[in-house]
Amino acid sequence: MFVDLFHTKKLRLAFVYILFLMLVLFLQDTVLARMTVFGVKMMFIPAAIAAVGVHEGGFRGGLFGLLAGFLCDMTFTENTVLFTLLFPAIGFAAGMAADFMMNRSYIAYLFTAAACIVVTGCIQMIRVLVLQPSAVFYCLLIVVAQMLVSMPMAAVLYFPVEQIASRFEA
Amino acid sequence: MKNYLKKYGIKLLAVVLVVALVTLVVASSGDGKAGVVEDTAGAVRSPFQKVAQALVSRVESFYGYLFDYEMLMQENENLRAQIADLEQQVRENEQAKIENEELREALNLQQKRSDFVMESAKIVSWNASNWASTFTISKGQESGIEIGDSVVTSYGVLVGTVSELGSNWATVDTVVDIGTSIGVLVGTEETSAMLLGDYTLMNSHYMKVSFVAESGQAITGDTVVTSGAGGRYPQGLLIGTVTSVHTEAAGQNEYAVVEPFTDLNALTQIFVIKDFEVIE
Repeated sequence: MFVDLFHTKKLRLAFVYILFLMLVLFLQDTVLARMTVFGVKMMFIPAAIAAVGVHEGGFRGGLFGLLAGFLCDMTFTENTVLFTLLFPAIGFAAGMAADFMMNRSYIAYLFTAAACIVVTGCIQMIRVLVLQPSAVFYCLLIVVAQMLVSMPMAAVLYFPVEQIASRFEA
Repeated sequence: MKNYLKKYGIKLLAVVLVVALVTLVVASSGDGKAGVVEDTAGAVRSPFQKVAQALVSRVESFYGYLFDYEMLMQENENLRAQIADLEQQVRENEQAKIENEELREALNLQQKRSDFVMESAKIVSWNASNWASTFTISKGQESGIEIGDSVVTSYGVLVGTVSELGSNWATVDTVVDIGTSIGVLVGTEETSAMLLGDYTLMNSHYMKVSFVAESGQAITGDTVVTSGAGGRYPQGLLIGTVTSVHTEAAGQNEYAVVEPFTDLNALTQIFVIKDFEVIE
């Protein structure tokens, strides 16, 4: 039959991850957009990408990152293609790290997520440094602060991805 | 049976009649005031009556609880719905009142600056990033808005510039964004200067004024307005006040920290200046 032509399980997995991404973007862009901790806003989308990379491997992590990056570039108006390029790399690197260097444990994920948020912050600050090179130390401070305030949310994101991955495991 | 009735019945009837007669006589003897017997009877009866009344009340309320419960529940539900409606109305009225005030102020601004062609819009969302200060508004190209248009509050305070445009949305870079660079006049002497976004001040919603004129100087409390030079911004738009004056790290130039007149966090409605008269 027509349905047999498709990998329905893979399609369902993709659909669930798209829903998960929409939820994360909604939280990042609307609910928590105005919420600041010590004047710093959360940036936990890289952690969501890291979670997918850690549980699903580099390829799927990269695909998830690509979609997340594309949507983020439409949301974060200060960039044009920054996230579309950066997030697939983050997803792929997180998957690779989980496959070859680290394991898929919660602690390993937290380190990966923190690294992804820091890398994202460092890339984001380039625009500011181009306009104001003297603000480098302040920018680095914001990168660290951004990572710290995002970690509680990052810590939560591991669990839904773990659930999705284990439910669709072959 | 007949014997029993004869023996006790007649006696009982006699006693009852006597008591009734006495009671009748005592009751009708005074001028409305209770007699000794009646008073005593009343005194004795009163506590029992109270207890009885209390019991009856309880029973009645229990009865009411049982049989009127459904009715009361329905009534309660209706009242709750009414309260919710009224609360909604109050909220809407409050919102309408605020909007009305802002539109009135905008009308005042329009009367003061008849050369302004303005478009009102609402702020839809704020940028979730730590690296830029921007917000999205509810109107865009279809409303005649263009990139570079100034965005002001109803009081004519400059809050930003349109930087990106969609058909029915636009992104506005606020005045505290790092990309800001506006020619301004400072203080009563109207010293020419440049208003610049500074990243170290951006998150606390402050800006920086660097002086172009060598004789330039600022004092805390000075007002900063747009100079209108270059024709990009209308002349005389309010921006903020000088809160402190510092010396640059190199030690040669001074700069002033400026606090915007408007609280950016509290902004909900803005006005885009689509056209204005350039004063040379």
